[in-house]
Amino acid sequence: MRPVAILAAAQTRHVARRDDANYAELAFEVVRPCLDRARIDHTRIDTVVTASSDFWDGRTISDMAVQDAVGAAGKSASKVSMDGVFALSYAAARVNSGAYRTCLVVAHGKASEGNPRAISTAAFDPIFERPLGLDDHAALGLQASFLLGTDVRNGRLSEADLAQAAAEAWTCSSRNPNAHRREARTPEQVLASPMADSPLREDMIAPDSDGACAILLADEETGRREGATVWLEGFGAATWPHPLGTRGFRYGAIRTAAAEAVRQARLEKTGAIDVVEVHDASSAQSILWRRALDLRADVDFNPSGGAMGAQPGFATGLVRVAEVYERLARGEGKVGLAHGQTGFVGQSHGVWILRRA
Amino acid sequence: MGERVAIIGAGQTDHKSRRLDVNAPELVQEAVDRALLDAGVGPDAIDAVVIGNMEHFEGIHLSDLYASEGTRCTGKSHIKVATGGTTGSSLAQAAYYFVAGGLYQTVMAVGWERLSDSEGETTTGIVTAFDPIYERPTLAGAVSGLAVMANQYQVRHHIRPEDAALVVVQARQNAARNPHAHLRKAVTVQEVLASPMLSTPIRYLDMCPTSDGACAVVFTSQPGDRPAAWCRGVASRHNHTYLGDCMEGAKSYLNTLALAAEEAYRLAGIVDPRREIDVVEMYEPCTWAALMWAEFVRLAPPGEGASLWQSGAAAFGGELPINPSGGVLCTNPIGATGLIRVAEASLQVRRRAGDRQVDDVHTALTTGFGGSNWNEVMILGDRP
Repeated sequence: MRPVAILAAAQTRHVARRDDANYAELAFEVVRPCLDRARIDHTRIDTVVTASSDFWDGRTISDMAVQDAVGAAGKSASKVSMDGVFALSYAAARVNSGAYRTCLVVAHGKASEGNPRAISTAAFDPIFERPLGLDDHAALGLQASFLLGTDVRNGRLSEADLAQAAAEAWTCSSRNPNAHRREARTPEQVLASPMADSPLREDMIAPDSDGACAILLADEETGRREGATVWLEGFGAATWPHPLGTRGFRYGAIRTAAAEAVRQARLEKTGAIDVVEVHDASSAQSILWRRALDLRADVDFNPSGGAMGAQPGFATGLVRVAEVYERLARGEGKVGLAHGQTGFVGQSHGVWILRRA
Repeated sequence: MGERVAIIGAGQTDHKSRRLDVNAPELVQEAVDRALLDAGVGPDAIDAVVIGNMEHFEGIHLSDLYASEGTRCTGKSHIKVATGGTTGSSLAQAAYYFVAGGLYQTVMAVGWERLSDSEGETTTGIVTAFDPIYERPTLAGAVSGLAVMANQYQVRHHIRPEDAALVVVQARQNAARNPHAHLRKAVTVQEVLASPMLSTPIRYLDMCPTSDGACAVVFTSQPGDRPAAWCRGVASRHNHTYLGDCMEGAKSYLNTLALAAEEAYRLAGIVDPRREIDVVEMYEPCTWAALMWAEFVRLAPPGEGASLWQSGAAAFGGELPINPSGGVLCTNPIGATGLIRVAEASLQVRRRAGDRQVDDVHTALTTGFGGSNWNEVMILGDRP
């Protein structure tokens, strides 16, 4: 793909429950600082792509609720009903089509408005899977259970590994002012937390958060004029079949997606990447996705705490892009990878490669 | 500039009120297989899928992922776009931009809906699109907002109910030539006027049905020597969040269809749409909307939309056929409906529309309509 400039990014402080803001207010909370940081006024936003879930919001056409807040009135806008990382690919396509110079991407998730477990049950096959009581956490438990004791690229996965990865995520997110989980945990504390979906304990599963994220993109010419320092250079996405039995639990489609993103960015291998943010819905996934990506041993992995630190619905993956962007913009590394997923246990993956010019 | 984008294949299911013979992935596959056959390519030629559906109607969360195997493209890139009534036209636009922006060479847009799964409660799903405090208790739903618009229009221009009724009479005549259409039985103006009132002035036969169906369309930047329909003008315009702001007469009112159409005409180099457009596939959710939409896209002067149907101009064989497929008034699987407009227009431009083929089509206009007066326009032509 032709490189696309990131002009600015913004995210909320993600918390368990935001009673003070509705969906539109949550979205506006990230739109305003995003425009301010880019020093751009809303008349210079040519088009908008939002990401939200009708089921999570309890609103069909959930983008209707935020269209004034994101400045879409009178403009061309659209909505991706998947994680914001996928909305970002539509935004990149829009600016690279030559029809628009800038595109604002806004994703929001407000888990507190509904019952995430009941909602996720509705994503399973209505006849063969729902009666089993499957939900997203149960599926994560099945995935971890399947992997426990098996060889996951360079080592058999143990319960101690799950606790160690969770503790690392808690410790990272305790240093992130935007994270939902703000206290550090030791592996022993993680292992002492109540059993949730065996073998996953409560502290090994990502939280349900309220939050939003916005990223402002520009085409090459506008990006250069505005002095953009960080660019999107490659995107890969892949979706696996729906039934759990058909697709298996191992790496999902993340390797296919990452290989395509790396190819587009003309990187020789993922070992050239300095900073990585993945959407890990459990500490088993923190390990799984990290190993699936063949990263350098000293890579800066989920420095924000990842999704284990905050998981605001369809904004979760876009927050990963914002985190990588901010680190590269500060000069902490030259090449970054950001990952998002939609669907239980990683049915659909999207991977971005970002580079500091 | 971006790549030029052509449509090389379109396929749709046989639309019915209940397709109990297939589940969602199978319904999707029926349309996908027909689109691939029409395009003369296999699934290997598809780089990415843009899929859409309004999941509240089926009660299946992440319904795109549930149906993904029906696309024959698992393992590839897959983006879900869901924007209400405009879902189908938004899919076409997303597929267009993904190809125009060079992210993929060939993209298949897939829209589907099984409204029979909502057991006659489609409006219940639509009501949730509106603000729970200010709008749901009063104006929310598919029919009521359209009824307010139709009332405003009727009063301002002194339009008679029989003027609107003529639209569905001609739509049903057209649908009889379309083997995919859902409602193909002829109706008379008298039958329309005698049908139950839903919300003044919209009667039962003035309103679109709810259907089960799917549609798939293949977009590419490399059509080779295949018959192609080129995307010459693509535009979309949003309105405000609240119905009170997006009804004519409100201070902040935007005529988003007129704005989108003018943008698409500018891109396509069309100055006089009435003379330069050969066939129209418009998203008319009710008969009254067809009259208004025809005026908003400058096919008729304000208040004179009905003359297109009264004079026979809009009929099959007329000088400007409108919805030779039978349109939304005869077939409405919501997540596919807007994409069917683009599919039908592409068949017309590629001269593959069978019994409903209009003579001498070079340029076709399609529209999409959805929640809070959101409008989308795509113009197809037989040259880039």
